[in-house]
Amino acid sequence: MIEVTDLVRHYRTGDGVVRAVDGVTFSVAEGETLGLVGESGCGKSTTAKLLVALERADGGALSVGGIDVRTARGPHLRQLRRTIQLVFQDPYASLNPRRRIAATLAEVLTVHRLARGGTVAGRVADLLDMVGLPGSVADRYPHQLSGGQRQRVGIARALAVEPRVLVLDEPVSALDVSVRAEVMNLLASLRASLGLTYVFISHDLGMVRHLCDRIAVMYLGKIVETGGWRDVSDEPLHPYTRSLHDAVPVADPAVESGRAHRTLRGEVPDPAAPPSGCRFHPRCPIAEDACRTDEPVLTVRGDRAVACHLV
Amino acid sequence: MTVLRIEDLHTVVRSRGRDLPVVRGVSLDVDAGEIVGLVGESGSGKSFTALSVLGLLPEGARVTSGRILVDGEDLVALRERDRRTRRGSTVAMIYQDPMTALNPLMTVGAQIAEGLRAHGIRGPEAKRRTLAAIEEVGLPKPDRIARSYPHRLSGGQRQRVVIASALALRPRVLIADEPTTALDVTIQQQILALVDELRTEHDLAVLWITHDLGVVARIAARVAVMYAGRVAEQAGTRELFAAPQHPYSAALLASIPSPTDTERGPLPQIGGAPPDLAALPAGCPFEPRCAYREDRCATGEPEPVHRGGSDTACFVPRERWGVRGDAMEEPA
Repeated sequence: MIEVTDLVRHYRTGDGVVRAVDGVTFSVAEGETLGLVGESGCGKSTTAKLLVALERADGGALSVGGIDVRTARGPHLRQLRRTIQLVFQDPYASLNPRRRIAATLAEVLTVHRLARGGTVAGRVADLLDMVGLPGSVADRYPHQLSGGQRQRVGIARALAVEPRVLVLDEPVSALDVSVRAEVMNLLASLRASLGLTYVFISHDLGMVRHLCDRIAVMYLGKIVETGGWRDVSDEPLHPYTRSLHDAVPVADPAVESGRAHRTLRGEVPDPAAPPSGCRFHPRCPIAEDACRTDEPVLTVRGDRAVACHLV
Repeated sequence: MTVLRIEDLHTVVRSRGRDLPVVRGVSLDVDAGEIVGLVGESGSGKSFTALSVLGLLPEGARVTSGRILVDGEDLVALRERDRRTRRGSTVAMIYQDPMTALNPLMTVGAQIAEGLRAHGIRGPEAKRRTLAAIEEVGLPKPDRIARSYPHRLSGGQRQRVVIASALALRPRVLIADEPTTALDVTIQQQILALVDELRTEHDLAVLWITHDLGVVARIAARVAVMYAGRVAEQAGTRELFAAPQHPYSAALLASIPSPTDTERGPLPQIGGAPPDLAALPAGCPFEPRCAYREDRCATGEPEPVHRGGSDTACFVPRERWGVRGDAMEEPA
């Protein structure tokens, strides 16, 4: 469903060229969920925007449902929009505050000529029902809804075009703990009932582990490790993935008191001036001389892949 | 030794001509050298509790009754001028967004020195203490950091600066309002380790407000779970996570995916939403959503009782809950 090869996106800024996405390769099969994990500046959100053609890549190849995303224009771009949709972290920022929910959803339906006239209201009601919202939400404004309801509206809007792929950019991070479970369950049930393919972007390893089939870990514009959900989350190989695994607090004091809590030193370097060799080497607890000069490539190990000289 | 004692605190917010009860009888102790986690979702009253302690309630909000004792002195009874001198020297706060506490137009050093000057520390002594405070939070080259403006620093460095500034006057109590929520996890890890180190070193009483139960499990010795302006349950962290005595704490914990799950079914949901503070139910505020409610829960609001190692505001002991699985709402 998604084929990404050596994808590159560089931004020119006052401080130089920011290499936000710098040679990323992955694929996602139909019906599969890929988790993209990483911290600020790792390129996960830029990757999301490239997938849905909100931004254009500077290099590499990218196809979604057989459409070449990099060159899609006109009818191909419309076809792409109907194939893949983005759900944002903060639906409040992406919903027009002066518009009732019905109007927001109706606009998507009419722009894509999926409903008109008398059929629009029925389709809006279907969409709200699909995401577990009562029909009365149609007459509300975004500020009259709770955070969880707004995120359901965000999902309904993405589903309006009947896409095959959803890119979910931190979809539960802004929600209260108890509401997260509801939205996660909704995503899992929609995936099952509609046969959707997901790219689930999150810094929350627990949620990624819960929803994803495979996980790709990004650091400074590169994928450093990828593999099945249990391999990557429970037995990470790359030193960065291991550090992430250690750093994420687990809601179990018995587990927490037994953990090493090795603190990763320093911060993520400036993506405009990434370190030589392995980009992780200045923070890596096991780096050797070769790591400072030679950039490791993502190398297949059984059914997973790691970019590290030492594991 | 108890440093911070909150006794039956009530705080209201004026809204549309009436007083909304946002904190409804919170009682809480924090000992010297102890971190207590204050957990709750939006609207639970956790931030209003913290702001009441600081005396920094927004316009229209006020403490209507109760006491907030620090080393035995009731802050609520103080005049505003005395209250102000306690802020920083007795009780300090760090925020989710460090820029809340930092002036973008002043160097970091000038800001810390300004806080010291307000308490009578000036000249070379202020400079020495400013640099010592910056050094203490693990920032390299303190003199260079002191000359920097906040926007030149990373998010993690800014939060360290705010901690340095908060602790410069050696307060007895530190209120931490989600100070790591906006940070990356590896930076969060550094800040958690730093605060943990500083509270041991200075015997600080820390009240750590968060919605992240993982953070609580890592750093807090005890935890209070708030719901609809009250403490639903208060217990040792291990006790609460191992055997929550309040159905709300139990439901919250159950809704988080476990890192050891091998089967990934639907997450247990609570269902419904917290009550409107303008129209609180007559009984337990959690009753409409509670899987274990009994008849009397709808008529009277339970007071905290000591049960199973925790103080729990619930009529229904855990033994009567039955099997967890059928108590939770079936996910959609």
